[in-house]
Amino acid sequence: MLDRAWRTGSEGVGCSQSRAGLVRRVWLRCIRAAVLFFLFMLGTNSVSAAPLDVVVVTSGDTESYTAIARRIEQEVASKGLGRVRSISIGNVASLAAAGPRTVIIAVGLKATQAVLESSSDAPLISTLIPEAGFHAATTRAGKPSASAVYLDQPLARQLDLVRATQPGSMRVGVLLGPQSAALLPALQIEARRRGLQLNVAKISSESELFPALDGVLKDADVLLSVPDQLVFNPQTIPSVLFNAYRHRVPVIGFSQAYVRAGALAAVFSTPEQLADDVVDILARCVDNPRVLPPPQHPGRFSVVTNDQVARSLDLALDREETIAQRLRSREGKP
Amino acid sequence: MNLLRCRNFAWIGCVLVFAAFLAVSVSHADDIASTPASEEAMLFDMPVVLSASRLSQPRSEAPAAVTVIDRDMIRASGARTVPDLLQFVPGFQVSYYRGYRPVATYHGFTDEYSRRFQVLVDGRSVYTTIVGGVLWADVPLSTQDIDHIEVIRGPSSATYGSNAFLGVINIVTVLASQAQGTVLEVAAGSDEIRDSYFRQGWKSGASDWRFSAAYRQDDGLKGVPDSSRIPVANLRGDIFLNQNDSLEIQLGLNGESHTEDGDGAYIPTRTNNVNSNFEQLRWRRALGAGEDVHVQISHNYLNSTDNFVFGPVDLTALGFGVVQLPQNINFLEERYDVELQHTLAPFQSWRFVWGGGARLDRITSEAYFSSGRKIENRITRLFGNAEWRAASSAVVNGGLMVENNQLSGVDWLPRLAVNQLLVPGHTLRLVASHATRAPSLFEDRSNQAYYYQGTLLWQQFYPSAGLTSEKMDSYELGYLWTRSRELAVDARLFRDRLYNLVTQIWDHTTPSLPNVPISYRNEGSMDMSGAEVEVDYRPTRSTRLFLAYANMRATPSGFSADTTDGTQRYQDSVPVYSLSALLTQRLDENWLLSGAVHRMAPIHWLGDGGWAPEYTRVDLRLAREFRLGSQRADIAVVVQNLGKPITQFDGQNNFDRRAYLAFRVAN
Repeated sequence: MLDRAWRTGSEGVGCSQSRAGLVRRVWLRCIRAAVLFFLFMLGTNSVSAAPLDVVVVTSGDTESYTAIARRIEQEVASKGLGRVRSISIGNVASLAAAGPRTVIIAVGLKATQAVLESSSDAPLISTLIPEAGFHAATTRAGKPSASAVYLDQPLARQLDLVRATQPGSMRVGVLLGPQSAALLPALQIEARRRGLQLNVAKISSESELFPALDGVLKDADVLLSVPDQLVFNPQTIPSVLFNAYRHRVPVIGFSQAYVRAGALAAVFSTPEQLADDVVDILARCVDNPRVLPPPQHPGRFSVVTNDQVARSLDLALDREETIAQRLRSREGKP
Repeated sequence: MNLLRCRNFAWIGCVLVFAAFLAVSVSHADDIASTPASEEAMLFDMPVVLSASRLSQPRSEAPAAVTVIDRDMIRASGARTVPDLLQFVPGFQVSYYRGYRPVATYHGFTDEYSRRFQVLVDGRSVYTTIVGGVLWADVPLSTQDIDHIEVIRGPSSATYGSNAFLGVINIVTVLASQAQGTVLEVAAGSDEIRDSYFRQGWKSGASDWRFSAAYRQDDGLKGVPDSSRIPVANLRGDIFLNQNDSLEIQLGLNGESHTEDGDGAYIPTRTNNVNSNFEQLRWRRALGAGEDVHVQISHNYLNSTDNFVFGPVDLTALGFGVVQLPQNINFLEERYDVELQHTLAPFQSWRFVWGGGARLDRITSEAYFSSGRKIENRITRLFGNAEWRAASSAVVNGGLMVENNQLSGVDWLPRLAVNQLLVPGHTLRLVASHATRAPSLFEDRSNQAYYYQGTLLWQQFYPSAGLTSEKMDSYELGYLWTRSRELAVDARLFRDRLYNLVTQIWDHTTPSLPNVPISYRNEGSMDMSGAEVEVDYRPTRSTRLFLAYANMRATPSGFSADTTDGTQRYQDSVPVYSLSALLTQRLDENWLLSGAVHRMAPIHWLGDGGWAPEYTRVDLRLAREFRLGSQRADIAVVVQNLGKPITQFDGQNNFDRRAYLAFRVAN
């Protein structure tokens, strides 16, 4: 209808004009101006909002932590969201004097715990922290409204990786420990959705690990590693990998190091990817930083595979990027 | 058997000690991690664990037919010794010369010291220097410590050197990390079977350890005094030194003793003792993706004693009257070996393994060599194998070993194999190789004679005039069909031409001796051809059928009239067929039933062997699994040979029915 109105309007120029036509022309021009003004406002909204005061607190100064801090700084600057400053865990008390535009990014468990224990009520986004650790910290501090970008991948994505690397697999072996036991119900749901059978063993002490591992490996096409410090640590992983290999069972890991050690594949997020996800949250909530989205698993991720192990187990794997792409499209991402 | 009664007490003593352990479960440091999950649970760094040399080629790309006897098969078979397990490999025949001396051979053609294949335990060669074959009862190894046995059917000299003539048996033991906790086993049954086994595994910092002690006893075959008592102890440590370096340490002891039968006239029945031990160290360093290097050093020691009095002998014709001749048929041998191997994959689609090694064999045996001197033999070797992924569906393996054996000179041992994937799951394999077997010290040098006060009475063995290696040209067409975990079929047609054989002969070139002695000479050839099939079928999680069948044809030629066995017997020493099957069925979550069937065509064993007619052997095992508190346990009853007695290696003694009850508990 607007189309015909324009045409009528332009056709009408230069011709004899009635009074009704004049009113219509002015009315339509107002609408056009209003639309343009609205678009202008949308486009320049970020510039017009006040800058954020992003405070980054890291749990340590090793590469992972500093990489995140650096990336957040870069991205916040390039998106013009505000300014970034870093403070050490010891100075967390200074956050009490935070302003209305302050957003705290806590990198790691220690930083998260320190911020939660401080008397600051500035909005908090935690990152480089496992889901279980984040929940434990926020429940203890009684601050459920904090947001996070977890370090661990959603179970759905991990099971999709199982599917992508070993399409014929049916039985997934899982070893759960005290830190990961709570994930069992969710794991069962996601497995059932994909037609996968779970073979689960739960342990509560290290001496139970190898009998449990043996039992699980006997009846599994693949072993899914769910992060848990008791089950998967630098002392136990060599044995897990040896035993799994002896059973010809591939292991799905959770980090590049684990895959380099001998796991078949892993889906993981680099510090840069986590930082980008955090900055996305900041960008989305720049208008009202007090209302943050609920904690979430990372949206950006990569896939790494171990070709030597794949070849030895007679498994044909696609290239890492192809697998990652397949996982992304399964999640409905571009 | 009087000899065994006091041994029974020893066995009972062992059981009581072990029972005491049963009551006490060894606890480890428990880490109950109730700490909140931190990112450190995911961000730690790791050494390369599955480094290049630990990863085996997949079956579809391996340049040979490989049979794997895994842990499940070992338990389900009820076998107490490694040769009993080798029965399940297509083309293998197993028979017992005596209860303490099993004979395992590939494609027949052997006397009681089967010496035409290489046998390794964790990469360490265990065939004896003196006879060139394996004295199975003397290997410091418990069957319960075996994780799996890989048998390469077909010559593998290109990778494993001479002696890997007809094949290679590689016994891989359980990693220390797989053996954490305590295991106890006791078994008792007919034929004075009394077995016990204890193992303890533990962690210590960045290393895993396992220690096992075992005792095995039985009174051998019916009708002949050949009982044996075999105590064995083993220690293994797997240590991660740092990010890239790992160390494997192994020690083992075997103090076997057995009853050896006499001849009813001059040689008495007596007890012999063999003490053996080994030490082994393997250092591995991961160098990058698909690249690592390892160095292995090992030492084997074996001391066998057999002291008896031969006689009384009437030597009045020689002016000595009736005399007793004390005999000390002893030998002491040691082996030192060092090997380096480098695995690398520097370019896309190429993978290389190369390395070298040196071995020193040293033996002292007055009885066998008529000299108290130490006899030494040095072997050095250099090898390389290149694997080329020619296309996404074809793999070409080219390997070469150059070996310098002091006894027989330099040998070049090449192999070329092409694996072509036809359609997914179906692979065609073509292999051509040249292999050699160097003569054993006994074949080359044995000088066994009986003297009395300086007078030579009898020359049993006379030294050869210098031997060169046996040679073999081998061609194989193989077919592999796999369907995920459910089915694996490996079939092969082989055509082997063995020539320049080291043959036992009556030595007529020594008329000055009181008798015609036995010696060895390079003569004769055997053309062997046939087919082998192996099927591993697992239709459900509770059922498994493993089938091994071989069909063999041998044509001997070029043997002179001097041979001790004769051309016809050589042909008869290769049975027309041999068949084995193992069926395992899980009845429910607690009951496991397994049965084995072995059938072999008639065979005329060489040397001290005789005719063994066609036989069928059926074994059964029924196991009940249960829990004792937090510990897993099972009780099993095993019956070996449900049918008629089976004539064994010497054509006279039989393997009758045998049954035993075994109890095992693990935590």
